[in-house]
Amino acid sequence: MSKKILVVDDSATVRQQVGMALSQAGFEVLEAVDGIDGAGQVAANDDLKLVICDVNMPRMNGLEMLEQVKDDGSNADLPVIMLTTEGDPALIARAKKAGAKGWIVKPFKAELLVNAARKLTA
Amino acid sequence: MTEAATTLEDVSALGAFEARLTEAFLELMREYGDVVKGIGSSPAPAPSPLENVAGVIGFAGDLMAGTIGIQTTPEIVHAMLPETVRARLHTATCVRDWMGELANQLLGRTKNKMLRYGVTFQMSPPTAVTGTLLNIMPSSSDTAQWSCVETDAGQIHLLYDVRTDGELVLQESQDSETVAPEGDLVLF
Repeated sequence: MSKKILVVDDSATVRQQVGMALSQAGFEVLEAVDGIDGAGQVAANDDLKLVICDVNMPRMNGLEMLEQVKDDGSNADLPVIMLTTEGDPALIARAKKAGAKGWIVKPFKAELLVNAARKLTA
Repeated sequence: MTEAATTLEDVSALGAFEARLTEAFLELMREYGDVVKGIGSSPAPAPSPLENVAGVIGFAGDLMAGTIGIQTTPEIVHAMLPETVRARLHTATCVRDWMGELANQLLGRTKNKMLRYGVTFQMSPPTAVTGTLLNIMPSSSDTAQWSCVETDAGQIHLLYDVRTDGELVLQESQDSETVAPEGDLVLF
């Protein structure tokens, strides 16, 4: 059975781009359009192996979603990578403190993302 | 004993923002678009209303706030879609979505560059707009300015409308914390 990855981004193009790269690498991909949708998908799918999440999104941003998801102890081992235009060290520190596993500043290389997914879902 | 961090010369906040935004704009065009043939003189005239798709994004911080926009034709935006998805995405919705993401990445790159001056700001989610004829009206004609990049596929226009308190002067600090490089994975 394919490992399941959730991609959270308000851009449909980015979700397509990330989703295609991961699907071609053999992962099953779910999508969410913002932090509220993403948190809901995490709650509804206890077999997720990885979340890849944008930061700047409407309704709930990615860092808020990360903190909410990690507040739930059952998600302690769920790896989360932030995929974002942001490169601010203060935001990266906030993500690390909240329990994220990694940070990629867009634009991203598909191969790097796939390798990270393989490593974090192994 | 360590020496105090050295700083480079003072620059005006608006001048620094314009320079970093222009750098980021050219980088973005090269990343996703055709060969950049050149950047037109600044300020440039506003784009033709027939160039009818635009991405607009706002920002606000303690030291500066404003709006930036990108305007061009749908054909150019489509040509700038990432290669892996370009063949699949043809609708007007896709073009609008990607234009919004381009505006988001442009301001994000600019924000990362402004960190070296100790300037940071919050970014709004982008808005993409299309119309039969499109005129973006900036909030103030005194502070808004257009520039233009020539590419093989045509012109891409950049609008920026930035406000600071008075004649704010910035210093570029050499000891500022390093911004995460684009495209690299930082694993914790």
